[in-house]
Amino acid sequence: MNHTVNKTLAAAYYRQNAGFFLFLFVVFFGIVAPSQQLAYHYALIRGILAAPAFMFVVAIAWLLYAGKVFRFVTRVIDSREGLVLYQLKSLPPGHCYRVLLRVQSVAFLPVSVYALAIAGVAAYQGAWASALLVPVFVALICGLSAAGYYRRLEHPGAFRDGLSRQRRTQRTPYWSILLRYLFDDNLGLLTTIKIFGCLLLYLLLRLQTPGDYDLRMPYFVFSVALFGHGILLFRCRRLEETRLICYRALPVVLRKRFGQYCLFYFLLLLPEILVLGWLTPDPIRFIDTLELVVSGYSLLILLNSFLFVIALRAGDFLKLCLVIFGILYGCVLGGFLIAMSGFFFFTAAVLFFRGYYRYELR
Amino acid sequence: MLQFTDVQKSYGAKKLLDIPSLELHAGIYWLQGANGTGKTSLLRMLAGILPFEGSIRLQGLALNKDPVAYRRSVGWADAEPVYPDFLTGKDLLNFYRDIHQPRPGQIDELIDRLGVAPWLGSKTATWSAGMCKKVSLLLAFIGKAVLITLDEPLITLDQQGVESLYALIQDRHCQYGTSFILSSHQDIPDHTLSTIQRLLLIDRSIELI
Repeated sequence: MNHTVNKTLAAAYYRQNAGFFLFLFVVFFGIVAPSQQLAYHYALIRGILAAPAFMFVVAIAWLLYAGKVFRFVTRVIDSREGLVLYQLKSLPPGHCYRVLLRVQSVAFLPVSVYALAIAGVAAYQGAWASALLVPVFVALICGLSAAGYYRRLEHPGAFRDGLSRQRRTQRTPYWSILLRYLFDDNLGLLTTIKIFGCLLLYLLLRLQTPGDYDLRMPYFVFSVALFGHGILLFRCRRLEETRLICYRALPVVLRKRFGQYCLFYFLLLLPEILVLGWLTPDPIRFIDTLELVVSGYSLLILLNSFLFVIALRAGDFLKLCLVIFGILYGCVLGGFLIAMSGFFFFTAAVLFFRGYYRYELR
Repeated sequence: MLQFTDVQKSYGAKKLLDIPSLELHAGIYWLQGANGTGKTSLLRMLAGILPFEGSIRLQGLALNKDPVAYRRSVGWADAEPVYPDFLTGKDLLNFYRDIHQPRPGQIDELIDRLGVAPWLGSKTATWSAGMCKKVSLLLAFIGKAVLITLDEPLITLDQQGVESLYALIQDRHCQYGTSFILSSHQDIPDHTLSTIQRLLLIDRSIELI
């Protein structure tokens, strides 16, 4: 039984998130020379212990990670593949809980190991409160998560009904369905694109000084990040063509449909917009922020509209993206980005309004 | 009620449907035809999902000229409905409720009659094909449609579900005059539905029998 549970949950979790862990590994251990790893992490942990704000951010990150694990496990329990897990109910409650706790502990291992290191350093420094609180916090997360899985298995319908009762009066606008799709099914890719895009943009723009003001590299990085958004956009359209075709049959005026996409892509681009807004007017000028935001936004809207005119395969769509990014980067060098963005937006609207009802589903 | 004028549907070089002229009066229609004759395409065209050449009018509303008003008048359920895995039944109902603005109590009544309440709170990923089918039928009935098209509505439904569906169709037709087009490979039920007429999809066109 243990083997089956581990294979269905813990092993599957690591397999599905291999890219995410590779990324974490590079961030944590790839940016410092091997000989300086210990000193680097020791300094990092001392920083965490010394600054409550830093500690708070770390705690939030751990909670987010716990949420990621929880979502994965409950999704498996709810799926057809997870039906085998309901055999756990035949075990005594304590035994069943321990099995689930073990699953959670294995999935939470990357955090637990680092938390133990933090507790060890805290104990070494004589900060006994931190040395105690950190492991208790991690244990609490694991214990509560396992209890959540147990409850899910015991009452497969009750937990969801509770949620749905809250949602009964809530609205479900179309843009929120697309957004939830990204958070539920594409979280790894979305997080990677956002972290890389926002972080690199922030770092490159922080380096700008009035005497050495050159935005060509930040523009290039921003374009690459937008290229990543193109993949998300393509997946959203796939979802619409396979599982949301009913939306085409609903009585929604075209301008409202277009507005839903405009809102969705604005929300998708919001992290980059916030980073740019944070760095305006110093070190980046207002007009440059405006150019970056408007060009990026209009580009996403244009790519979306293209997919309502012709049915493209993923490879062809990425080639199209590359061509458009090439044009955009040419506009950056030529200095007429705002004008081109206006043209992109206008073209997007025309393509959408002319193509939406004529588009042939694959 | 429903008028076809020079309606054609092609996939590449292959012409699937060619209906020069046809008028259907209000009623319940049982659409039959062999595999690949275009039943699903026809119902998707009627729902405004698939583009086509020509004109389809429903009570004077042309699909290509009044796309929103037309769509408000048509309900549609797919043969093998699929929805995003992460949505619950409640999410789908909320989504449709926002758009269709049904009369108060309509959705609750449909939930009760189709018996879908127990799984509305769960995600569609956990549903069986029959559950998905029932919810898709429910969604087709939401609103004030004057024509409801149901593609293979009987497949995957249990006997109780089939009877509930027939009763719903009959009541909706009698109370509100709603017309129905049901595509099915099965025979027309003997006496469950009144005034049912048979449509046969043959030689790329429709014949009323």
